[in-house]
Amino acid sequence: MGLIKKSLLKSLWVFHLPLSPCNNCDIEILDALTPRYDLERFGIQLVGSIRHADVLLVTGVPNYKNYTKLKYLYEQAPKPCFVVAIGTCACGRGVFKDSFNSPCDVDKIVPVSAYVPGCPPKPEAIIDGIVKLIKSLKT
Amino acid sequence: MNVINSLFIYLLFPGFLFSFILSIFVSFLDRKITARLQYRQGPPLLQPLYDFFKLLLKEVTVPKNANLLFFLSPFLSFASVVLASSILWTAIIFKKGFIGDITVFVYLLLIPSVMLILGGASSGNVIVSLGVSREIKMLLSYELPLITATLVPILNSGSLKLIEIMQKNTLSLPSILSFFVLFICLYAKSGIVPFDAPEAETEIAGGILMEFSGILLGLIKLTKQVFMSLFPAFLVGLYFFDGGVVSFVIKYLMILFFIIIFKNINPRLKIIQVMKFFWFIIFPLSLLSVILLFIL
Repeated sequence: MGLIKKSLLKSLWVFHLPLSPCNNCDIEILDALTPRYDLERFGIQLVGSIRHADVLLVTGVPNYKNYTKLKYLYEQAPKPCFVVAIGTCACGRGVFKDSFNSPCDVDKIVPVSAYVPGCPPKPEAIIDGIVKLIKSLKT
Repeated sequence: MNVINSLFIYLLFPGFLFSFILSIFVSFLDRKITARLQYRQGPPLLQPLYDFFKLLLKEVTVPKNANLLFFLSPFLSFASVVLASSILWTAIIFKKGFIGDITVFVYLLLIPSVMLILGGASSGNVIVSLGVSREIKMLLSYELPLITATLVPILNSGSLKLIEIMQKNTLSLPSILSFFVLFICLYAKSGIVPFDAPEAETEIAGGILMEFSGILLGLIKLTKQVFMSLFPAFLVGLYFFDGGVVSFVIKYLMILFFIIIFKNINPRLKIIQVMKFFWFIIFPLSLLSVILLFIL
């Protein structure tokens, strides 16, 4: 593993991409980033602009208003860029599966690298998801 | 021979390589102490290096309206800050310099802000233009008191050479005042927390840095880190220099710790508060220090 790839895995900057969620998953994401769990130990930082992001944390169900915007934002992010679906809604739409305003799953719109199910997932589960993402990228 | 010597100074020892390593160490210290103040573990020693190499690898995205300036500005700002760093460290380590190098140094430090304004504005993004307008206002606030305060050590020593100013420093009331003013101005110039309105991540999503990605963003971040490693050295050099290595390192680290703690205990100021603070408090203080120098 070269220095460049190692440095990518050691400094994943995450961008928070909510698709009109109920806000629970977002609070758990922020919980994982705050001092108790301290993801900065592994170089994970929250960034404000999509141009700086390496990982997009998608929460919520895509609907007719925002599913084009998800695609658009993914195309704006500089590659290599990975998508992590946080929560049951983003993984497989949960109870909104047959809802009238939801066209398709997140992974039909953009390629998803890791799924973290749970409603909402605990911060430990989010950290576990990121660890699995890093392990899958190492090989 | 002279050219090779200059290239060695610029690229290797007090220039690029030295300031790169020093800036990575300073950035690590900054993040680690911040983490410890917030009761957490903090990143490992090589974290700033990992961030930089990761940004080298990333794709560079180009906004639709961007022109050549968008690509040139991070390179030019980094080149100028490395040149400033090699001038300052040559004066401190080799005790060499040329007449007027302090003027060159102060103006070289102006280039990164101007380049950031030009590069950011050329991207044509609306939110970046907010950041650009704030950066211009910051420039208008701190630049005048900074130059006025730099006059005090120059007039004190009667020389425009950095090394002669360093050797003739005296601690008196005007120089303490000008130290305070210069500290605040350089602090604002480095764009860290109470004065980071141009790149406020929580309100304008990175502001002036928003459209930069990949190596361009990496160079801008590196420019800021090199500037932060330069700023305590400049202050120690102008006011507390006594020639010893150990005392220099101790004073450098003390000012650095003070900067980091000051950063962590302050919230972000609004841009109007920054302008009021600089125009009505800091600029009169800097004038007062120059006037006191002539009276006392």
